[in-house]
Amino acid sequence: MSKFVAIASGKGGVGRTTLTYNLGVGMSLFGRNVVMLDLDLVMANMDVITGLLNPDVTLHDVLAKNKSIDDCVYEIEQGIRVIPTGIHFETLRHINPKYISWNKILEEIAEYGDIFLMDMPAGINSNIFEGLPENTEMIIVTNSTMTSVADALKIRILSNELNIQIIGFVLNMWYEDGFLLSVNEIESLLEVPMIGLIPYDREVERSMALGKSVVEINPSSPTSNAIMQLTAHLLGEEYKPIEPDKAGILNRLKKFIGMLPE
Amino acid sequence: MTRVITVASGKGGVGKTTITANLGVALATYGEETVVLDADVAMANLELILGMEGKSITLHDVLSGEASIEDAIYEGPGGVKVIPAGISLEGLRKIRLDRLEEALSILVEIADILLIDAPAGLEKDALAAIAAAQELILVTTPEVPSISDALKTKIIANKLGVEITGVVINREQHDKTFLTVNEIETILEVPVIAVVPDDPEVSRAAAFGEPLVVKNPKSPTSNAIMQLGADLIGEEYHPIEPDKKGVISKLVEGLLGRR
Repeated sequence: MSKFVAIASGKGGVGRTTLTYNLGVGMSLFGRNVVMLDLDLVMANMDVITGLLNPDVTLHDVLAKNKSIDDCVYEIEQGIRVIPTGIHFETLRHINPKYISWNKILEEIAEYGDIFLMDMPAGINSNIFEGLPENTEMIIVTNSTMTSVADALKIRILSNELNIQIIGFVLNMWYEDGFLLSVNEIESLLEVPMIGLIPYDREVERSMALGKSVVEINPSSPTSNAIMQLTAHLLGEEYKPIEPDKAGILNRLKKFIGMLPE
Repeated sequence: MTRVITVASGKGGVGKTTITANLGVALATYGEETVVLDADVAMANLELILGMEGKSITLHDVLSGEASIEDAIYEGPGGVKVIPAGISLEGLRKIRLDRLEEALSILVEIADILLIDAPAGLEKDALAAIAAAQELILVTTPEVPSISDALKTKIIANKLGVEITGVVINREQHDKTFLTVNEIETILEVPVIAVVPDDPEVSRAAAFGEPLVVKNPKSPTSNAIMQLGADLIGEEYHPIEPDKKGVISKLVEGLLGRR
């Protein structure tokens, strides 16, 4: 049975799409058939992030021009399938979000993979939340700032109202700062468990600029390990973090010192 | 004549609300009667950044017809007037966006500058905030997804007959992986009117509920925003800079024993 995972944040800019992309790559490394869907109809970025710039047919065409969903499933380098959203306003104008039958669309694509990562739009304006498949599991992404936690809380409340199952929150782009909210504080505010703590790392944005995911570019970094750990947790798999070989480093250092003149 | 300036970004999380809040305080300290309106009715954050959360009457109440806009104006740091959007989902469900026009017409009467914090995205609420503008400022970070969304916003704004005053590049890090000022100007075809450096102090200031231009006016980030405020109203601004010469000469004096 296919598994639907919705990734939502409320606030924009907390790293939701980037995390979705990295989770997709991670799941594909675990051998899963992953399909990533961009459900942000206006401020879509998954095409930019996956390097799938200006694809011919997008979700917009499916919604506005009755194109088949089969025409807008693209496969990217990492072996992941992507269903992008277009950026053409002309098409967008013909779409009334109120009349989209998301359930039908999500049923139609079920044959394309065994796990579907749905990148939800920021905000709560859209009715996409209402149209999610029944067995959807939701992940809420937040940072440790008050504003992002406040918006995450709104998403949590909305999801509860709509009976969407929340598996937990991911504290993304985290760094130690006593002025910001702590893990415990966020857990008690959101009243859902933390399932991932992803440290802030500029490599994440840099690898995006290079058209890659950080789990490919720098798999041994703490951030990549944390993302892979979260991936494993979501799939019920085991993941052994790639630890730096400290003994090896010490040996090299000793050798180096030995080479120094007495 | 009141100036209606909307700050928009397209993408969320680029620092739009932070820029708006600090710019509002900056304009108020220059003596302009400045009203900042949080038009992000769904994901409002302005009140948190300015330490003004929990106000009883908000824009939600005005847009649901239960209060008049005058009752939703509060005085914030530096004398800036602030209209919080309200944060409850209940409140959000009752609003009617068409009431915004009337509210704006009242605000135009009382303010020199009306600064509108637009929601991210291009849903109806965002379009209303953009359409209300006489001048539109786009905020972006130097990364491609953010520029791409800024460009979408620019296209829509032009279709609505709103001209872009300029672009504010926020969270500049001098990292060659990202886009430069020139590249951003070429892509967006609008001038860059401010470059605001990345600064972790911004998040900390928000945690205190105190805008950075008040909490730490000497920081490069504060200076950049004060300069932007001054440029917008044709004022002079002399950046507050650390007195490096003074420090060095004192050091030299001390080392050489000169008096």
